Amino acid sequence: MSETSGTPSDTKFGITSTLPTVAFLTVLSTAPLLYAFALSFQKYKLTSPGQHPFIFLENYAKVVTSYHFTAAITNTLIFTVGAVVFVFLVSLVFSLVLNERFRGCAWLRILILIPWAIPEMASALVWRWIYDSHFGVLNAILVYVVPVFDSYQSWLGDPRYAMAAILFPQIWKEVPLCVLLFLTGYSTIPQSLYEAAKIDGANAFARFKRITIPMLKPIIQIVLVYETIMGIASFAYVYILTGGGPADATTTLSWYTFMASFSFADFGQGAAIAVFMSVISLIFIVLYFRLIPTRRFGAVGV
Amino acid sequence: MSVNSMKQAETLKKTTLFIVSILIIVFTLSPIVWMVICSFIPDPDLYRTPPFFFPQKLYVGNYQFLWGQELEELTGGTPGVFAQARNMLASVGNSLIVGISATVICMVLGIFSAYSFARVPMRGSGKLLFYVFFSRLLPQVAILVPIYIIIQALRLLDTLLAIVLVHTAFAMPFFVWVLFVYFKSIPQSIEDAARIDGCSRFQQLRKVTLPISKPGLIAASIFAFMTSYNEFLFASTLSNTIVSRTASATLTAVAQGMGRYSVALFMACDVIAILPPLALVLVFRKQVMEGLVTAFRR
Repeated sequence: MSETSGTPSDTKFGITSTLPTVAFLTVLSTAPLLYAFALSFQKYKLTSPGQHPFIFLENYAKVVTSYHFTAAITNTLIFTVGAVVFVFLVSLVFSLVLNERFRGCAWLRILILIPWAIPEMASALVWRWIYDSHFGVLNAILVYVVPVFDSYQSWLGDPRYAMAAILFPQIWKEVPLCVLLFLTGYSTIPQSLYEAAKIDGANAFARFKRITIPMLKPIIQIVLVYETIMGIASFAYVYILTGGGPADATTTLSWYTFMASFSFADFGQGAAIAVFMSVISLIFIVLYFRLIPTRRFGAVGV
Repeated sequence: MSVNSMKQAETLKKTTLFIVSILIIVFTLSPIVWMVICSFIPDPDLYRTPPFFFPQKLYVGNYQFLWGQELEELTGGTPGVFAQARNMLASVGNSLIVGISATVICMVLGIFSAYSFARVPMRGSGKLLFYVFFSRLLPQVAILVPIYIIIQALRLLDTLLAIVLVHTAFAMPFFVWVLFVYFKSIPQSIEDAARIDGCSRFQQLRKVTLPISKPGLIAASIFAFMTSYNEFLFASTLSNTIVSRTASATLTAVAQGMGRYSVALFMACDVIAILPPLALVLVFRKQVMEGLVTAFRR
């Protein structure tokens, strides 16, 4: 990316080649966002069409003082932190194993992409069936195969389990990408470092702690920030599995946006939450943009 | 370390690798395997306690129903959901149309932009790149209502065109980003040779840089297609009838109408819906894996 201005013909090429894309995204991404910003200051209820008076911060005041809001903030925090921590740990363990050379490891590396590759809605559908409180296979396993419970549980309807039940599919979907990123990270660490440490008598754990983790720092940062952004934006599983319930136990900010807009038919309030959520996301997006390493960090060993 | 303890360490390592490998397989595949198993079971057999963990025999009735045959085994349920489910094949067709259209628009606009960001010196191009990039990561639900109002004002509700436009906007940032990184990884010197031979910027891109960047272009295009194929919220909100339902939108309708009836049929829908993206990823696995990693560079 070159910031200096070039020859006139370059400038002409630059403008004609970027303008269509920028214009397209302005109309279909930025303008809607600004529109949401405008909507958030208006009274815009579907029950009273045609009239959208400017009410300044009233929507924000209503949203913030609503009891859904406290739940949404808490749940988004729990969901996002939970997703980030577990995605990080699971993908770290998986990637450490997939980094070894053994029979079938190439196939495992492709296999692990599957949760990433299939549509979110397709997995939401099957997760809903797995969690079913009457005939779900999770209940069947936990009662008949590994008898942890003596009766079927309502995973999605019980406030004790509902959050974990939407968290797991998110972890499942996000692990593949992070495994891939970690694998790339390992490939950039010079093997000589490990050999030197071995000669010095460092055991496997010490080598992991003193070499792998520090060398992996750029990737770890990216994974953490990226997963935070994905956690805040996550919507499909709340939408299909719990609908924010039971009793707001899984109401996240993204669900609250949707609920206010469509269930309460109040576009103004929905927009106010949308703006709030976007600002939080934007902070992490800027951070993410800064963290992306500018140098090449190796190729994935496929 | 003695030879014996080294052998022990080796055995321990092998055992750990084996156990975690099994764990990876179970973690990754079990929901998919269960989906496939349930789709090959007569519907009433699903509602048993405890369930069959393995089907007694292969039953293809659910798939035959989706192909248009009648089916008696299906248990009750609202006719609406059946109609939705039966629309699955047509929806996958719609998804292909929408996904390919969005990808083509991404190519037409995005290749030039990515090249420009990577190569052409221009004031403010870094900021412009961030502008193109940031919208992809924003929570999409934030712009659902504005997009709905805009599409309604354009009288494009319930058309495939509306969904193509929205999906293109979602796919574009990632498309541009992946290509941008690919273009940057190609040595400038290759282009310089072409420039000395009198090639214009456009010719340099078309004759030199783009042909070398084929893996990147394939990866970026697959990601664009998959972004469109996966998107369900806008696709289902902007479509009212089965005419403009994509696969993900149909799955959304099915998931919302799903109770404890005809689940076998819905699982068959699910299996059909995941086939196109799975096939793409399997065929182009190398480009996909490299492309994904590329996307996290700069």
